[in-house]
Amino acid sequence: MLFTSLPFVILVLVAFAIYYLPPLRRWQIPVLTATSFLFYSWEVPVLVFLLIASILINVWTSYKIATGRKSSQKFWAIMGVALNLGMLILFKYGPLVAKTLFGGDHGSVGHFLVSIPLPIGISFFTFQGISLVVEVFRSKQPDDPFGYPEMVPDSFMEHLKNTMLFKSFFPSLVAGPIIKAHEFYPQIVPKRFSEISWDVAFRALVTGYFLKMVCADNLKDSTFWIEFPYFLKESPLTLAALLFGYSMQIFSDFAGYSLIAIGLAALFGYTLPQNFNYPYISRSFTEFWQRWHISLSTWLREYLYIPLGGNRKGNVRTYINLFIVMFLGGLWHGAAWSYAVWGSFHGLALAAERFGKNFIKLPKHWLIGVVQALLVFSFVTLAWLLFKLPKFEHVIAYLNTMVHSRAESNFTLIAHVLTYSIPVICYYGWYLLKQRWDKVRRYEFLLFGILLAAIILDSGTTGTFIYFQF
Amino acid sequence: MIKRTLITTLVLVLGYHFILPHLSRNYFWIPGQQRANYLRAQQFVHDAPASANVVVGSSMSNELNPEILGPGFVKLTFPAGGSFTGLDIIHQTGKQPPVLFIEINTLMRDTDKGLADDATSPWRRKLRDASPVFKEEGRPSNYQVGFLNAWVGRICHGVTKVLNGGKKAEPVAEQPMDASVMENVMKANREHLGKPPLESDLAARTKRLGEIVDALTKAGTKCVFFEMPIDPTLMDLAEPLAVRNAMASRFPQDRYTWLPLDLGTVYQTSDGIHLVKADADKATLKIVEKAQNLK
Repeated sequence: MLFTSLPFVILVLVAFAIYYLPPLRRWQIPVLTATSFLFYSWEVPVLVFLLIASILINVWTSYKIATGRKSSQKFWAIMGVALNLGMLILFKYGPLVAKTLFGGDHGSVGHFLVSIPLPIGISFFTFQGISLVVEVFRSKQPDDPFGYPEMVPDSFMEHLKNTMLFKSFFPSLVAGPIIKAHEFYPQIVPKRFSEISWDVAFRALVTGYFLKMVCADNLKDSTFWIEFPYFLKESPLTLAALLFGYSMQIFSDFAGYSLIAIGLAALFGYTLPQNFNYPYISRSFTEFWQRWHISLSTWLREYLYIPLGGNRKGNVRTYINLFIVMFLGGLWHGAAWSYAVWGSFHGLALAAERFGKNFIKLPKHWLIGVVQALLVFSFVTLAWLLFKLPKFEHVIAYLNTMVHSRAESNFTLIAHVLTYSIPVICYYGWYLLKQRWDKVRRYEFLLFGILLAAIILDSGTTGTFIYFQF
Repeated sequence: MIKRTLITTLVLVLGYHFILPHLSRNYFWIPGQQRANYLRAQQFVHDAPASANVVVGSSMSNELNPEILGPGFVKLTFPAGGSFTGLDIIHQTGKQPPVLFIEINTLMRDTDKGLADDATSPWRRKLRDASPVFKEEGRPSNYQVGFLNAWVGRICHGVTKVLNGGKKAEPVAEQPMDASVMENVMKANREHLGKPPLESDLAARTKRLGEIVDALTKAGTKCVFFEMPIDPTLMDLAEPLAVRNAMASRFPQDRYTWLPLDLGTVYQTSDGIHLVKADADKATLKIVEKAQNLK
């Protein structure tokens, strides 16, 4: 079910009305869980069984860690992580394994692996499950440096109820933000209508729907042409504009989704972590990953980079760790080697940047900052091509056409890209303006009025969210 | 803040409702084929006269020349879509065109549900009847794209002029596709059309088409099937061949009307799939002629 569809709006309105009815307050968790299951099973009902299986794995293993013998805690933690990863590998990477090891769907094993459907949101809810298992395990260690709160109650049924909500919570179920267990469990308490953060919800929903429905959904009609062989007919300028447009689209699509999720969660009394913090103004790759898909970056840092040794084992090991984390982070995005290459590109950039910092000290000047931001943006945008064109030969053909094409520029296409990229640039501009001149906040109602009017008058045709495929 | 925002939105939407009819069309532009598809569908639903003949199809029959077709025809031809989208729109609006031309090339393409629902949803139709700001042609961005299109073009031409040492750039006539590009495009076409469709899919689609055609025929519409000519080397690949055979067997010529768009042995396409203008014009004339004969 799409956040932009009418059935979804009806579902949320009905759930919202029931959720806050005072006589039903003790049923809030089941109401929200049932809404989430309905949301998830809307298109392909059978997938709900996979979600249930994933929930049961995490409930069982985390409960055993919390309440079982001390000597078996590690076993259950390893079991929990392995089962989560096993499920992810089977359902997400089966086709990739088949293509790589069995040459596609030849033979019974290859055919079986290729035919496994990709369940929507599996990467997100699996990572949340791993966070539960790892955090419960860490919290039980005597030297727990993280100070996680108590997440597993004595009653198994209570834990089952809470975990069902944690894993299926519909605002973040299919495309994040990835919530860590310690961020969510303490929030599972009865909610009151009077405690809703209306301002937070309204701002997030209006901005999110604007970015998705006006910017991303309209930009997708232009960036559609970044497809082999259509792009071969275009000029270098048109191709550069299309790539720029895709960069704007992927940001508005995903940041838009995250904001809608944050707004919806606020309506039901929950706070989700910020997932995007204006990433395209980053002056370094390190900063970019502190601003882009923050919930994934922090997840990778806490559960992969730090356990690998982080930056505590010398420079060379740090570079290798960065590369490994980004390589796997790339593969997390999709079961194709192009995603791994995309991740590796970022891993190399992060390592090179860290290495370079030892030798180059740039003076602090705003102009240097602007040049740095433009460079990082250009590299990041170029790398998005691997997202859009999963075949390497098509990526090469695109770059080749960008250099050698002698075709006439398609000004309409360029104008279309500009029309829907300018609001995204303004979104960043407004943020920078607010930093420097606080008084503009007084006029925010005008800005939100314009955004809402644009949603009503100029929304694009409904498209699925790009990150749904991950 | 929320109340003030909502009031601002209301003022903006109402203001736009009153300003829209007075906006200059100099910079009006419908950007992109998807938006043009939505516009075409909405124009059919809201503005098409009941007496208009209709052509349903894909980008192939979208090449048919509207000037030759004249005001007595409406094209429900959708690039990236197929005939079922047009047929569903006709079915859902309850319109009964006197003559309906059905392109068979893209039989395997499903209805674009988003497009069909957008054009025919009752509440959207009511909104669009109430104010043009809710129509595709009323979108503010049509003017912004048109404006930017004009200015981006001017700036680029200006830059070219400066680079050419003050000389104005020669207007370039539309060029045929570069040979290496054409080779790649034809390769992609061959890959795409070389895969035979599943027989069960084909049977389901001809069955569905049969139900729609029989219902329309019963209501008085004359349905005519036609196949848009494509590059001769692609004509008999697995998919077009399978579709042609399935259609011929489900809709035999002695019981259903067919229009062979025979353009002789020499005709040209721009990319293997779409006829060049001169040949598309010839095909258009044949359709007009057939419609006149059926009256």
